[in-house]
Amino acid sequence: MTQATTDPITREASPAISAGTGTELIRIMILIRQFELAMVELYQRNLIPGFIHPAIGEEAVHAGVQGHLRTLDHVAATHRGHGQALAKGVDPNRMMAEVLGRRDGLLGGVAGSLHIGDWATNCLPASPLVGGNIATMTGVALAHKDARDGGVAVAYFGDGAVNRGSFHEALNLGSLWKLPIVYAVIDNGWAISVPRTASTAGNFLDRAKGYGMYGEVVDGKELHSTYAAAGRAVDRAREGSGPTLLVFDCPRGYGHEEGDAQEYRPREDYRAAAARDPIQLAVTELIEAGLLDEGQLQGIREDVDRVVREAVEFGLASPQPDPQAAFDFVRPSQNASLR
Amino acid sequence: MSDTFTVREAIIEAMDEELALDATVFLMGQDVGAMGGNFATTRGLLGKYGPDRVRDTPISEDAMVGTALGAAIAGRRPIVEVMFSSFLGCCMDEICNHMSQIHYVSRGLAVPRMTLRTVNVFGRSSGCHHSGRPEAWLMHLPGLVVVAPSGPADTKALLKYSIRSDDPVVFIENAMLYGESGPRGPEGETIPFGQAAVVREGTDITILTYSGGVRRALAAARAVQSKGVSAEVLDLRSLAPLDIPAILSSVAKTRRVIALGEDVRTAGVGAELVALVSEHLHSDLFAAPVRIAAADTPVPFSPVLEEAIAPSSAKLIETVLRMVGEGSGQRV
Repeated sequence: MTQATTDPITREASPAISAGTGTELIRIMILIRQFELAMVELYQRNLIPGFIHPAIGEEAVHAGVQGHLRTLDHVAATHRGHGQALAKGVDPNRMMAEVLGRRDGLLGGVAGSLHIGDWATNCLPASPLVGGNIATMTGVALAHKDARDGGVAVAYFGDGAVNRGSFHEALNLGSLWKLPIVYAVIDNGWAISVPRTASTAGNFLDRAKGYGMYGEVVDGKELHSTYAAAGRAVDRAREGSGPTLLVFDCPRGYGHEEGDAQEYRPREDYRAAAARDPIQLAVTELIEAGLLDEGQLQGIREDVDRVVREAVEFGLASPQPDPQAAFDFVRPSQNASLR
Repeated sequence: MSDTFTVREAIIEAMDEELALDATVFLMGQDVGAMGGNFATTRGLLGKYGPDRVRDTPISEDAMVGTALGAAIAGRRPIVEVMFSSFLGCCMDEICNHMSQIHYVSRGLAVPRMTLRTVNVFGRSSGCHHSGRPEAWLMHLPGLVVVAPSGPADTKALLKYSIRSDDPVVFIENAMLYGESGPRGPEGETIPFGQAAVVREGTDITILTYSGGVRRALAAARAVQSKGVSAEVLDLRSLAPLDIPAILSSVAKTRRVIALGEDVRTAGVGAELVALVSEHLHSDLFAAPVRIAAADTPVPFSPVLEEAIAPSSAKLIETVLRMVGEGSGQRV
């Protein structure tokens, strides 16, 4: 499905990246990348139970969206959610401990990689069910609207989710009630082994149009595009103009999950996708625009390496959970005194 | 205000009072606004609280329940009405994967303070897609509170408690009971979850039941009284959590038990009750515990056919008499 980038909003409104923002956004992108590479290594050493879904190649989306969010705003991550959470400001140490299933994890090892969440940064516990957080985030947006607090909700999901009933029900409701929400589709082109061309009829913009909301497809690997489009969508939500279906075109360069050899897919296809690296693109662009210099970049890389090294050390040093923790928090009234 | 009121009035009053008390409470559902509810259980609320707090929704159960949950964890206190409990099938993902689990997986950070009201309809020729009795599905979801009261005072007090509670509650009403009337409870009364009520005291046998089963049990208890049999009827009121001490204490006294429900028999509510009693009191029982429930079939339309699968009063009475006769004074 080839889609032209259609932008119903005037381009003059596009926010451009400023100098201070540029260094912060590139730092987020590099942090996400290095964190995930460290996580993959731990996984390959059999230190992470279960399975993990790296988002390598999606960093420009997370950083571009985060560039417009406040702490008060909520995001909900997906099964491929480490980057979405790190961008929102989730503590890397406690997140690594969570992925490792340890006691000091964000959620005590109950959640793992699939349900990453953190209240301090309003990153709601992710639902790894495809499309599982779209309706919930629509409700979060309703709460922001009713509370008139100016808050915005961002529901991340993949292109695989657009064929779930909850996507359609929630988009209808979100648009009908003009809720402050961004429906952020990270379109990596694949639902595990099924390409979008074999799963999805029509195109995303028509779906947005069908629900009477703004829709926009942008290059998800170019930071300036993700930043500008997310800015328009978040502003629209914040000023009470309702939701946007914001589609980040972001071809998947790697397997669905760590260990997926992608034998169902032509090698040149994923190699080409992987070769277009959003971090390289952003670095080149920011340097050319004079928003970043080599010295700053070096400083960011060193700082991120230290943060990630510490996160791995913190995670591995954290003890296993107390088995008794499995019985806590089943029902709010059960643990009322703990809140 | 009259001394008695109906279950329908109890529901309206409970929501009215809680909407008035707490500005974060709001109601959403299909036809809850101008129409006043498919069963007239939201009558008058739109006029009083306006469309932001009494929201009509599209026919989108998935989005309704998911949106209520999201609003709840972001600080509101929603009541979401799903018009028939059969329709829970349309939003079961939101209930079983999200509403019941988000508190656990978030270690208590996301508080699903919401009440999902829905309605069982059985015995009203509604056909198989409007005659759900999903209580056993819901009891199988750790984290969820499942409430299914019978009389008006209990209904009001439990609904008020549900709305105030931080628990995710499925509040199961029964369309056959909306017109039932009964005495008012004390002003402002709430009843916590997990508290059963002895609605009739007896010494020979305990009938454990809830919702529409209560009046069936009371009718049978009155019928066997003339034969000298004293049946105790326990209205469970909440199915999750169950009032285990009240159940065991009644059965320990009578030493015979029937679990009566209008749900499907296999793996139904009665199966859990019988297992519970057997585990704790097996050697004290005078007769093997019995489940009486609806047959393992979908619900047919014709009144004759629907009655054929219902837990019949004849069978209930006969079973009570057999069990009491069999076990008179000696262990089985």
